Amino acid sequence: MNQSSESKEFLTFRLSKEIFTLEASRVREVLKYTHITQVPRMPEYLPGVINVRGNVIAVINLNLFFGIKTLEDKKKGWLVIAETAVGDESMQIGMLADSVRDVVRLDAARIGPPPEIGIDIDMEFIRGVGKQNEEFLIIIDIDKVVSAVHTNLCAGSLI
Amino acid sequence: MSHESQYIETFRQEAYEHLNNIEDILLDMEQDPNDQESIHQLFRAMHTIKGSGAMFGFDDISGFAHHAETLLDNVREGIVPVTSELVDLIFMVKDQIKAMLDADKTGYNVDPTVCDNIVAKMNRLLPEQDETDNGPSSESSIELDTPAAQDEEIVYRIRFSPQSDIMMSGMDPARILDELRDLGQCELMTHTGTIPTLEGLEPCNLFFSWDIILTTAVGIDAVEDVFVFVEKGSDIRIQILENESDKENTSHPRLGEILVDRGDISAANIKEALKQQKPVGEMLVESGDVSKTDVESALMEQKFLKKRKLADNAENMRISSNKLDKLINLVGEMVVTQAHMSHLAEDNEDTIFTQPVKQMERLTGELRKFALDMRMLPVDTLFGRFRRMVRDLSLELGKDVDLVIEGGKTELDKTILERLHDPLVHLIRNSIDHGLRSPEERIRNDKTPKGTIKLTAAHHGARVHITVADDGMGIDTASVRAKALKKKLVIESDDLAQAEIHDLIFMPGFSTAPEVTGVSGRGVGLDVVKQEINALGGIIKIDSDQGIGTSFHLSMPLTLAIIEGLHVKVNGRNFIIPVSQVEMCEELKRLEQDKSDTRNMVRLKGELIPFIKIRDFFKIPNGNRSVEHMAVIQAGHYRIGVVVDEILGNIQTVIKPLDPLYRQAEGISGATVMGGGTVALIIDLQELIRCVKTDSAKSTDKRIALAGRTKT
Repeated sequence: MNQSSESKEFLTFRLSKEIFTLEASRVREVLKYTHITQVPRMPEYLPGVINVRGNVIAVINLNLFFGIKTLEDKKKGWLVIAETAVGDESMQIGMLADSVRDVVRLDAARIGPPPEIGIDIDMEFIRGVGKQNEEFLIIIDIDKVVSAVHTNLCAGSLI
Repeated sequence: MSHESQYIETFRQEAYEHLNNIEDILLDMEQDPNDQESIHQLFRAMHTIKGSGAMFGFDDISGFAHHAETLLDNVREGIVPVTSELVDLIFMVKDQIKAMLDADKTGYNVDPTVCDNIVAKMNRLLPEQDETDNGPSSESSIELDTPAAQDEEIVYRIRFSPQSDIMMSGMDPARILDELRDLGQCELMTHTGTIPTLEGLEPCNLFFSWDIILTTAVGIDAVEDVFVFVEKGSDIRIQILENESDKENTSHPRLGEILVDRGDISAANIKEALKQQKPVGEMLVESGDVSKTDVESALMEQKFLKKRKLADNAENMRISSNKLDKLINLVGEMVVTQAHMSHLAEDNEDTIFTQPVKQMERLTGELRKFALDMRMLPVDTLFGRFRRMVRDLSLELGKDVDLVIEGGKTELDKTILERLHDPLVHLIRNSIDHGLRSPEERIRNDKTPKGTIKLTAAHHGARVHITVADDGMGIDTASVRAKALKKKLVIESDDLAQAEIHDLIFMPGFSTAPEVTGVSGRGVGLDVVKQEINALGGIIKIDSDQGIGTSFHLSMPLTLAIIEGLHVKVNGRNFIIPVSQVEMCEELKRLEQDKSDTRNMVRLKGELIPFIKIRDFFKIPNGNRSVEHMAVIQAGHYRIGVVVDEILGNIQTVIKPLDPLYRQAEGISGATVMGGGTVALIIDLQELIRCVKTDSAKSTDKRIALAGRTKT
C-alpha cells in the first residue's frame, strides 16, 4: 500500500439523519448505549453522565447542540468516546450515535473547507469537509464544541 | 524510570525539602538572629545541597551553593554578623537554587547573571580574603565523598590501646575521645584489666584501653585523622562495621562472631565453648580465653547493632504520590464492589455467604482506613509555606504582620491540602490587604502596631476546621451593602442580616478592593475561593466584627476520596447527600406542614423550617407523592429540609469528579458509581441553597424565605 503520509483515519457515525466524522486518533473507544444518569438543570444537549469502568464520563447529543431536531428520545445505539480538553484540563466526552460506520482514510489534500451553504452546522465547529463515494463527510472540531459548551455554561451560571 | 533518573528525582525532592527547611530557618532567624543552632542548620542544609548536587551532576547548583556555604561558614565562625541583608541574601540564594532545580525539570534556562549578582553580593559581605578560595569547582570536587555520607551513616569499631607512656609525649587520650564524640554518636567501653596493683602503679603511665563504637557520617579518613598525632607505639584499629548500603544483608552478629572478628579469640575456641550449654560469653570468661571486659564490650556492640536494626525497621520510605493515588482508586473500587456484594448476600439471604461477606466487609473497612491514613499529612506542610508569603507581602505593603500557626500537627488528606493552598493564599492576602492596616493607622484605632494573622487547624469529628483570623478592621457592612447594590447583587428593599451581608463578598463579581493593588482585587474574587472549598466538600463561613477583626472558618472533610453519604431517591433517580451535614430524617407527611401560605415551610419541634423539594428544584417529572421524606440538614448558616421520595440509608461514597462541563451543574458537586454500576449524583447543599435563593429572587412573587437561619 502506498499511502500518502498526509492521510489520516477518520471515524464516521450517524445520529438521526446527520453523519458526523471525527479523526480516529481522537476516538478512545466506542461503547454500546448504556444507562445515562441525567444531570438536572443542564441544557437539553447534555443528557447526562455515564459510568465507563468506574469513571464518570460526560455525554453530549451533537444534533441538539447544533440545533438539529432529533426525532426520538435515545435509548439505544452507541456512544463514541473521544478525548478532548477544556483549557488545560483533559476530559473524555461521549457522543450519542445511532450507528457507527467504517473507519475511512482520507487524504489531507482532499479535505477542503466547508461549503458555504447546505450544512446545518455552524462553520465554527467544522474542521473541514472530506469527500468519499460522492458523500460529504463533515469533520467535527470536538475541542471547539466542548469549549463552546463550557463557555455557554459558565456564562449562564454567572447570572 | 531508569535507576539514574530515580536517584536524580530523589536528589531533587531532597533538595526541595532542604530549601523549604532553609526558608523556615531563615524566618526563625529573623525572629531570633542570635540563635547559633539556626546558623548551624542553615550551613548543614546548604552543605548537603552543594555536596549531593555535585554528586548528581548539578554542577551549577553545587557551585552556587558553595558560595553560600562559604558565606555561612563565616557567619558560623562569627566573622560575618547576622543582618537583615544577610537573611535577604540567603532568601535570594534559596529562591535561585529552587529556580535552578525547576529549570532542570522544565527545561527552561535560568539567567546565569542572577547567580553572578547574588554571588557578588555575598562576596561583598565576606571579609577580605584569598580569591582562589572562592573557586567553586576546586573544592566541590574534593568533598565528593562526604555528601553521600551526609545522610548515610557508617558504624566504626575502633580499638584504641595507647602505649603506656603516651602521656609523657603530651598526648591526652581524653582529648582524642572527645574528638571522636564530636564526629558522631559514641559508645565507649573502657578496658581496665591491665591496671597493676598499687605497688606497680606508675603514676605517669596509662593502663587503659578503649573499644569505641562510633556512628558517624564522616569517612574513614576523617576518623583516622583523629589519631594522627598518636605515636606509633599505640595500637589503633579502625574497622567499618556497617555501611548504610549493606545494612539489609546483615543479621545481628552473634557474640562469638564478634569476638572472633575482633581477634580476641579463635574460631576453634568458640566452637569448643559452644559445646557446653551456657551463655557463650560466660563460658569464655570462665575458661580464661577472654577477659570479662572483652565480653562486656562485645555485648555492648551487639546490643548497639540490634538497636540500630530496630530503629531502621521503623524508618519511613518514599512512595510516589502517583502510586498512592492508584492505590486509593483501587481501594475505592473495592469498597464499592464490597458494598454491592454485601447487598447481594443480604438480598439472597444466602447463609453460606453471610459469614465471609461480613469478614470481607470488616477487612475492606480496615484497608480503606489504612489507605486513607497513608495520604494524611500534617497541615504544617501547607501552613509553613505561608510564612514566607506573609513576610514578603507585609514588607511590600508596608504592614507589620505576625503569622501565628496553631494545630500544625493536625492531619489532612494530601490532595485536600494541596488544593487548599490557593484558597488560603487568597484569604491570607485578603486579610493582609484589606483587613490589616498600616502600623500608624492601627495605633490610631487603639490597636497594637503589629497585626496578627492566626492560622489554626483542629479536628472536629470527621472534619478538620481551619481558621484564618486577623485582628484588623473587620468588614464594613455598610460599604459592602452599598457595593452590592451598585453591582445589582441585591435590591434596595432587601432586608439583610449582618451574616447575609458578609456572605455577599462570596458572590461572583463582587470584589471589595477599592483599587487594584496587585495583591488582591485582580478580578478573582472570594467567590472562586468558595467554589474551590465547596468543590473539595468543604464549607466556608465568615465571621467579622467591625473594628475587631475578620475570620474565615473552613470546615473540610478529612479525605476527598470517600465520604459517608445518605442515599436518597427521587422518581427512581439516585442522589447522595453528605451525611456529615444531615441532622435527622423525617417523614414529611407526619410533620405538620405549614400550609397557611404558599411558602414551603414545616413546623419541626416548634421551629419553622424551610424546605427544598428536590423534585421541584431539579425539575424531575412525575407528580407529587403522598408520602415524602425529609432530611434536615445544616449548611453554612442555614438549617433546612431537603425533600425526597425515599431515604435508603448510609453508603460509602467514592467521590468521582465531574468533567468541566457537568461540573457547572447547579447544586451538584460530584458523582459516584453505585454498587450496580449506575451513577448517582452528589448534592452540594450550600450550592443548592444558593440556587434556590437566586431562583426565588428571580420570581419574587413565589419567594421562599430562608428564615431558618440559625445563630452560629
